[in-house]
Amino acid sequence: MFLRHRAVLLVLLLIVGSFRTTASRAQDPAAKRLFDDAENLLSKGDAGAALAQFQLITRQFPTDELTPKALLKMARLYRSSDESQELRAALNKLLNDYPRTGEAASGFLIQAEMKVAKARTLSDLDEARSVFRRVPLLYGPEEFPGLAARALARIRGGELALLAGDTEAAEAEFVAVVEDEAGSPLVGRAALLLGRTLLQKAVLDGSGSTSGSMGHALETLQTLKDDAQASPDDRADAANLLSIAHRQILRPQSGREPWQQVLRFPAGGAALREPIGVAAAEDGRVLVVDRREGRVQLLEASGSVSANRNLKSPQRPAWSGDVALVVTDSEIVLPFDGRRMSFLEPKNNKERQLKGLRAAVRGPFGDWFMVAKNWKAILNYQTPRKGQELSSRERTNFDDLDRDSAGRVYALDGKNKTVTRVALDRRTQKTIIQGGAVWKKPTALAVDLLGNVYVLDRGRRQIHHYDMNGTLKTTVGPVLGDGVELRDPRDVAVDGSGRLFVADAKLPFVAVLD
Amino acid sequence: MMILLQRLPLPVRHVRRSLALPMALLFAMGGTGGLWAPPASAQLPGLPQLESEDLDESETLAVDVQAPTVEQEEIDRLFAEALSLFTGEDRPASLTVFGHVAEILEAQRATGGLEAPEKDMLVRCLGYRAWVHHELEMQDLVEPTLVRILEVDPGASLDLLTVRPDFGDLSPDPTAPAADGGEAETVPKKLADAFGKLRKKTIGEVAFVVSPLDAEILIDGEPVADPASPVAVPAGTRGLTIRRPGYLPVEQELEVQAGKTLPFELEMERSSAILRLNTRPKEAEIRLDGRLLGVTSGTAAEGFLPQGAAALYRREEFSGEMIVEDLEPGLRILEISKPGFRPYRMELAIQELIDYQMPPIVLEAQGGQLVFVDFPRGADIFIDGEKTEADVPGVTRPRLSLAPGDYHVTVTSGSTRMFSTRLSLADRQNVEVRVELRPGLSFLGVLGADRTAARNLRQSFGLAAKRSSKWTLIDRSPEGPDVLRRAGLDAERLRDPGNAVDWRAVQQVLDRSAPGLLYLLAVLDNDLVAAEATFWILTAGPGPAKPDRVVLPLGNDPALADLQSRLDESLVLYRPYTGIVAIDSGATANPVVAHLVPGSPGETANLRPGDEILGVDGVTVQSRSELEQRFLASESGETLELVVRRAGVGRSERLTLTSGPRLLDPAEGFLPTVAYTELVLLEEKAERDERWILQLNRALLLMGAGEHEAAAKLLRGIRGPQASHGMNQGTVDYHLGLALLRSGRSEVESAARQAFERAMRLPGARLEHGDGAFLLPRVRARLRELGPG
Repeated sequence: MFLRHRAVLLVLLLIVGSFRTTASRAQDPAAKRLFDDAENLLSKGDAGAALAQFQLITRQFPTDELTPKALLKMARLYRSSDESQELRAALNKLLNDYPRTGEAASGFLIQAEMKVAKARTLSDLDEARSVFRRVPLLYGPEEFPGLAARALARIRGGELALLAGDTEAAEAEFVAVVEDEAGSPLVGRAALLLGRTLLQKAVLDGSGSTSGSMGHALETLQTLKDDAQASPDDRADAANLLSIAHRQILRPQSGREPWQQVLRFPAGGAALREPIGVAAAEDGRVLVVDRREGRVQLLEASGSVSANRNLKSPQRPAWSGDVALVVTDSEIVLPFDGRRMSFLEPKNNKERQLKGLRAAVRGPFGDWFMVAKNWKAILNYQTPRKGQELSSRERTNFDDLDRDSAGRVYALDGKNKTVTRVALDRRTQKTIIQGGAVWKKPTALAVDLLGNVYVLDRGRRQIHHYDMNGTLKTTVGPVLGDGVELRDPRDVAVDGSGRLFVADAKLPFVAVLD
Repeated sequence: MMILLQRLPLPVRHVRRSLALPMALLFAMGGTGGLWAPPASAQLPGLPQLESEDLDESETLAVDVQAPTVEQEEIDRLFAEALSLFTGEDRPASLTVFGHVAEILEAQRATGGLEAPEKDMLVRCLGYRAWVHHELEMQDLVEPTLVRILEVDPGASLDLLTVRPDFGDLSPDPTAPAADGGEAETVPKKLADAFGKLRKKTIGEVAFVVSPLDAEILIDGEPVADPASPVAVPAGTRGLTIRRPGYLPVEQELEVQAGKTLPFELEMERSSAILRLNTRPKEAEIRLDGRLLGVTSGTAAEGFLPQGAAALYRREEFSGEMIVEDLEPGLRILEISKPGFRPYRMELAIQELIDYQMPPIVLEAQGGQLVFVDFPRGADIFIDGEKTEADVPGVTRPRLSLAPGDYHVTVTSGSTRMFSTRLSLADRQNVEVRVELRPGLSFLGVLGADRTAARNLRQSFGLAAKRSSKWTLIDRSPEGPDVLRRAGLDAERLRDPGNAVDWRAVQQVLDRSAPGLLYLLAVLDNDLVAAEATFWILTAGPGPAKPDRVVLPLGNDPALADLQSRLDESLVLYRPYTGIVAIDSGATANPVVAHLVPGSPGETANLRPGDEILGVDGVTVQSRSELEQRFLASESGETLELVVRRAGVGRSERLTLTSGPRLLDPAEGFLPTVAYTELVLLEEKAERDERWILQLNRALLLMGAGEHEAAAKLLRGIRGPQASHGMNQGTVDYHLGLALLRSGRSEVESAARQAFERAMRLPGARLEHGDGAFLLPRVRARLRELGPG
């Protein structure tokens, strides 16, 4: 969800264009002609020529009302072409020479996003956050009513606050958008983030539904779900959160299991031969790896098959936001667009392709976390060529990885029967679950939006369900109900609504606990 | 009499008509041109000389010759002047003036006859002229004048001409008996003798003895003034007419011999009964047995009213006597009627052929009464636009007597509230008028020079506004544009969205010049051929100084009706309250109870978190939205049957809804200006415990208009309930904090923080309504944003 929305936000950042300028500037017809021409060139894909036109405007018509717009356009073009020096120059000119314009507010957004992109530590994020914070402080609604950049800055600032664990600051940002930016298309997004934050906080507090906190969260999410003005994505995400709250909080509270039935995916389709991997997107789409067929199947949330792809030695599937991934022995493959990535590992003072991959997950900063057969640590790659071993007290082989909505990474150590959580700073690791005698042979794990951890125990043919504090809540299996009994479970996944998916090599389907 | 006059050029036409009199007079004098030939110098002042070139022979105009319109006072003055000349030094000079008076009186006699005093005056004018001519020894002019005197009045006597030699200013009539007994001058004997001889040669007398005494006697069509005395009559064959209502008329010829008295006796034969009557008021229609006899007229004679009635009525209010003739014995129906009065009807039993005298008939004016109920103290009543006092002002149920008819009744209180109705009032009817003052919607007119479009729009809007169920239209379109101009507004300015308008200043001008509650004006999109109009709607100060704008195509009545319905829309300020937070879940097909407010109807109904609500009153619900719709469609106090599933088992629970206040949602599409005005009006009538929600809504409308300081001032004074759940004082404090923050004044930050902190103390507070968003997370977020104090 995080990555998907991040992409949406970036698009919004690019399309935020109709800013009001406070200083009254004249518009020169010649500048207007140049600007229109540049736009036209841009639409035809000739960014270089467009850039030249925009530059001409900034030089020839420094007092024209189109000049800050031209500078903003230039900054975006430089950013997309990774020309950092020119980008900095354009931004500096925009922020220094036209500080009281809506375009300058957008300039700050670009500046902040650049910092986010480069952030490697929490203090980097704090720095980026402080730049986002400047926008609402400098460009208040009285002087700049309806400024889209302000809402966007608040949302991004709130998201960074969440990553930093400052939920109250995040709530403040989201509330400010919901209440003070009425009419902005980002209100729905802010409401979603607010609802999710409240929900996670209520879960963290251990608040049941009788508490006001849970009521606040669910009421906020339901209001968004019912809001016809909100975007379909935001409403769908709100619906997922409501569903998972129903499963994980309301049903257990009324004495019921979180899941009430077992479905078989693919729905009504051909049987699987040897499903060994399963991954679920937040929106309920499922990626299944069938080893016997060497095939990856993409299923819709309803269970219908929407795509198939054959791969060589597919291992575990995964999702990075909206993007389906499959981990093979030495690569991360995007099965439906053909791209693939391999990573380098040091070997005898040399570098070679990393092999023996078991699982991979994308980090909150666009980095990668991986576990591999030959490494007794979690690997963290900033780029395919630049990685590090995350140190831990005990060196061990990890079997599986997942990530929660706050960006923390969970790693399953089957041998020691533990689950370790890596904090956002990548340094702090904490064992949050110790399976002990309860577990026999854990092989996979999944984390849901509420921080619940599901550990698949291949030896006991069970799934152990822990809350975010590591407390065992339920164990399901081997008999799941509806005539389904686990025989050789290999992988587990959970979607945004809390449905649990189990891939069992000896069952011709993925069992879906709904 | 008709004469032909030539049409004059317009500028002198009036003058030409003025001269018709002397010309006609000369004509009427029948060739007695020598009687009086006015000298050239005798042109009367004020009458321009007629010049021949004034005549345009190409046109002629037929004109009725009327009697001169010389006032009697002027005649008297002329006559007095003539007498003065006659009795003064220059007696011949009186000739001209006597001649002029005679001329006037002759003209009057020729067209309508003369009353006795005027006839005497004419005789005297002629007599004095004969006297002067006699003294001037112009005998050829004397005799025709004496003949003319006897033609005018066969009974005339020259004794009338006697004058006193000198008279003072105190006695304008020199012929009156002198107080000091001074010697009078009589007609010269020779002249008197000549007159006597002439009289003897030409005049005889008739002595009438006629019964009844009040019979009217006419000789040659001239009524006899005093038939009790012998009547002088020119010798010869005379036509005699004797008539009297109720009697058979007599007509015959009389042979009158000069110098002799002819006796005439007659007892008239009774033919019918008659009825004499007078009415109040005059001009009443008289019907006998359904047949219209006529209309009463004139004025009752002196002494007509009996003593008792004189205290009640004035004689002048009664008509003159009307005589109903030809009454045969038997039962007759007499009906007297006049519009606006109750008809008078009576049966007359005519038994004998006699004269019957009705007592004075007073017709009673028709009328009914308006009784005003719920009449506001100090309000004014207007009947058909005219301010009218009640019969007894100042009472709580004033009454107003009116003649039967259709009335437009308006009651106004101040200049902003109005009640208006049209009603019909019948005779003897009491109509109760329940006064429900409505707020006035001041229509300031249509701006824009396309007059046709403006007129049509004014009319269409006027018609649409008349159908309003909420407002009374106050049409200020005649003066509206001027008032707006004083506020710096005109069509040009309002058409350009780039023009910033100081609406607060506009409100102030309107408040001074056209006080009202809600203003509306229309601006045409162009001055040549307008295609659409923008309606600007503005509340009176201190309401939000931000108008609403509604653009409508011209000539589109449904669009206008839609605007009217938006103006009429009622505010919904309460809604059912359940205390249930329900959610939709992908894991089930029905809404799920997620949270219950302690003590709420939902909890009282024994619902539990996790319950799935399958149906309400037998209707399946599949989403939270459907569930809410079911609740909203129900009334407060209503009990609903909920089918729920708990732990997989179905059960039924009874939910009794209560009601709670709500905030207006801008998404509902109401016009904020109209809503604000309605809130002000509702507040006037609201109970104390209802006011806070009206004020809170008002404050939010102010905030919506960007008037945060005004909103904060209002919010500070609101005392909401301290209830633990739902909308309460926490809601008020939260909005106070927001208004202070949004006012942009850093010095009020600490006040905002305090307001949020107060709101924190009521953690169950909700935002929009009792089941609305929880305030707590928002309050917390606001406090976090503000940072530590």
